[in-house]
Amino acid sequence: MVGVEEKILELFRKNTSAKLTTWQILTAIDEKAAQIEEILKSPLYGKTEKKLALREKAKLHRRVLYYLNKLIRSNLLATYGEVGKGEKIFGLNLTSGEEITIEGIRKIKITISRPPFPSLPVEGYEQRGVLRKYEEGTWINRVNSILVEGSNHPKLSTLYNYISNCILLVNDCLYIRDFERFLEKEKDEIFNFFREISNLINDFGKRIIFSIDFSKIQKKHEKKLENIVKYCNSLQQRPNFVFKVNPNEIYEKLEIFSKIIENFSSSGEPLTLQNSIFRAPYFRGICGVYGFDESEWGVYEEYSKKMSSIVCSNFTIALDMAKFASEFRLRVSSLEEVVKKCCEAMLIGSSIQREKIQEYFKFLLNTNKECLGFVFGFSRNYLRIWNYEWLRKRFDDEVMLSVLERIRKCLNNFCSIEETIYKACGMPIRFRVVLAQAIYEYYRKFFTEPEWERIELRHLGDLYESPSIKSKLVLAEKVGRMLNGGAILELYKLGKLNLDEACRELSYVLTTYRFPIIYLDFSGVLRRDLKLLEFLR
Amino acid sequence: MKYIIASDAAEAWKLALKLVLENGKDFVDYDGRICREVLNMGIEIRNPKDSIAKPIGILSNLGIGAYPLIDEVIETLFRKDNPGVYDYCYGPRIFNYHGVDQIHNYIIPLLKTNPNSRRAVISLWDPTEDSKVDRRNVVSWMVSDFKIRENKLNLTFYGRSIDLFIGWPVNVYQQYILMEKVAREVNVGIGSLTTMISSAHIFLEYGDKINRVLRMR
Repeated sequence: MVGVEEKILELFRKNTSAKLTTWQILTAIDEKAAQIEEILKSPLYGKTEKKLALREKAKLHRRVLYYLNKLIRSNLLATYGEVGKGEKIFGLNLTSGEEITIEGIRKIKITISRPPFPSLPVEGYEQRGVLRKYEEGTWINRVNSILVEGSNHPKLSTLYNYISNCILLVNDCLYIRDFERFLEKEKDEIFNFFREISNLINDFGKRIIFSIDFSKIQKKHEKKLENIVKYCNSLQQRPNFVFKVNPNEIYEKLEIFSKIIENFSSSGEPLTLQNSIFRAPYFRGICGVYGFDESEWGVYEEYSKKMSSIVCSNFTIALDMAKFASEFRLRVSSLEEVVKKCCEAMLIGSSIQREKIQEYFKFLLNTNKECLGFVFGFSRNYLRIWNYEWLRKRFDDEVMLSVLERIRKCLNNFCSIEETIYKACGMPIRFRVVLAQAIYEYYRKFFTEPEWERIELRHLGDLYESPSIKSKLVLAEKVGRMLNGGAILELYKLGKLNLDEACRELSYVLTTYRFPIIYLDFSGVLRRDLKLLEFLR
Repeated sequence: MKYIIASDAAEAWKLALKLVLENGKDFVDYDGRICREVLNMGIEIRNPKDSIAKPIGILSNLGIGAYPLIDEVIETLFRKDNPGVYDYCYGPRIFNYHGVDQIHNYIIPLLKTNPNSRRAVISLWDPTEDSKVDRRNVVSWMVSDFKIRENKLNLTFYGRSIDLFIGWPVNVYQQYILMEKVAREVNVGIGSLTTMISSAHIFLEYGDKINRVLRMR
């Protein structure tokens, strides 16, 4: 058996994820084994020939086992169980992304590399433009977003160090909670901090979002906050803010609130608010909104003092509804099938992440040793829907809402079944997939032209006098109830900005409608020497 | 006590499912699922080497959902730590139970020096973790008992609550992998593998799938 080890390795080089029995390996590398197999299976041979063939089979078996065990001792192969009467299963002892080069007897180099991750059941849909994984290259070895407990870091310098480590682990954004605590620091120190943060954003291309809880801002810090916002909005790569407010706070802190709106509008930057009736954090990343389950957040809060960070989301896949309908004619069975495939892909991804957790996320585990189970214990995966308004245009509101509800139920069902299966197998895991919107700025380059209508506000009166705006808001709220991953209300201010009126508008929206996140875009606001822009969709 | 003896895992599985289906009592569990249960069941597999993974193979093709990969099943059995991604993990309970490696530091040396020992027992229930009223998930696999008789290793494991349809195929596969490891280290053959279950149950939502399995040859 010349060059047997070379032949075995060559066999696995062609299919690096193969798991083969001893006999499967033999029949692939040795012609004699294939002939024996032929004799044993064929009715043309009698008992005597078959008996001889069996004896030969056993001999070949023993010989190849010698070489297979040699390869196991060299750590090139490993056993992965047994079949039938103790026949072993062999596979490569290579981890994903690993590569080895072996020089064989004939001095031929064999290079075997295991791809970073296996094929996923969504690739066909991706090729047809129906689905898109967020950040393909880092889909497995990073998470989408991490929440950093700002209040558990005593200094800005330690917080910065922590952020600079976490940014390597995400492919979308970081959310820094309770940043208002640092308003007591010196202004220069805070400015330096944000300058460094801006550099991080520039270097890594991710979003870093700081949450400011308005209820915790002291009067003496209001001026400092105003200056910080102004400074950050002037930076090339600006840190993001989300202001946690309730309608009363807008009036109680009207002065600072107006100043903040003024700064955002004059710099043309969008303002993001979280409605504080939602206790769990919500924030807007590059590809969409992220958040936590409200009921689970209450559990987490009891332990949050022990945590440095937790993962908010592992995986995101976006689905273009219009493209799907054009490819599959909006059959319910096809829709459920594609949703299931997305879930299966994320389940495979989560299995790989669990296997590689020490390799990929060692920093998170090391900095949260007291409550390891919480690091991934509240995370959710996202299915983001793009152009669901296409359904409303082609059919009606009710069809759109019922499709979204169907998808959400399908997601809940899949996750519930999987968690039950894993629990029954003695491996209880957390696996959740939630529904959310796909953000226009990111996904427009990949998907169909969206058919949504913006909610444009010129005056306060638009909110309660304009039937079209009222109906858009009501519909957006109904859609928001389907989006258990977090709904974002996007408002576009037009015309001349009146600060007092803008505050009242926001207060009205926060009081009247239930959205966790409100995103206020000022790019259409009439600025001193700018003309009012017409936006065509 | 209901006791089943079968030659291999697949046969044992079907007999157990049939027994619960025909003799179990129904109730609604705390998750709101309709459960059919038999209390105190024993399942003895005389030749566990034969097709121990067959029930898993059948389940994987039934279209219930995605079954865990065998790689992950084995990996959770042998790992010494739980990095927090599982509510609990059998590996640390076996190989790092408050610093004690129950297999390498106890079972194997014990059976090597005293093959007839009746003390070769490992425990997985940890009161410091599991005896908490509000804990979401706790181990089902409580104890495994290794006994060498006639130069063969026999394993009996006790489960407090086992989903016979979804869970038992993997549970028994894990037991077999552990049994095989110990037998190899102690240099004996493989005997019988027995499961003693306090609550052996199935969920009626899988009734059609269970009947499909029972009709298979």
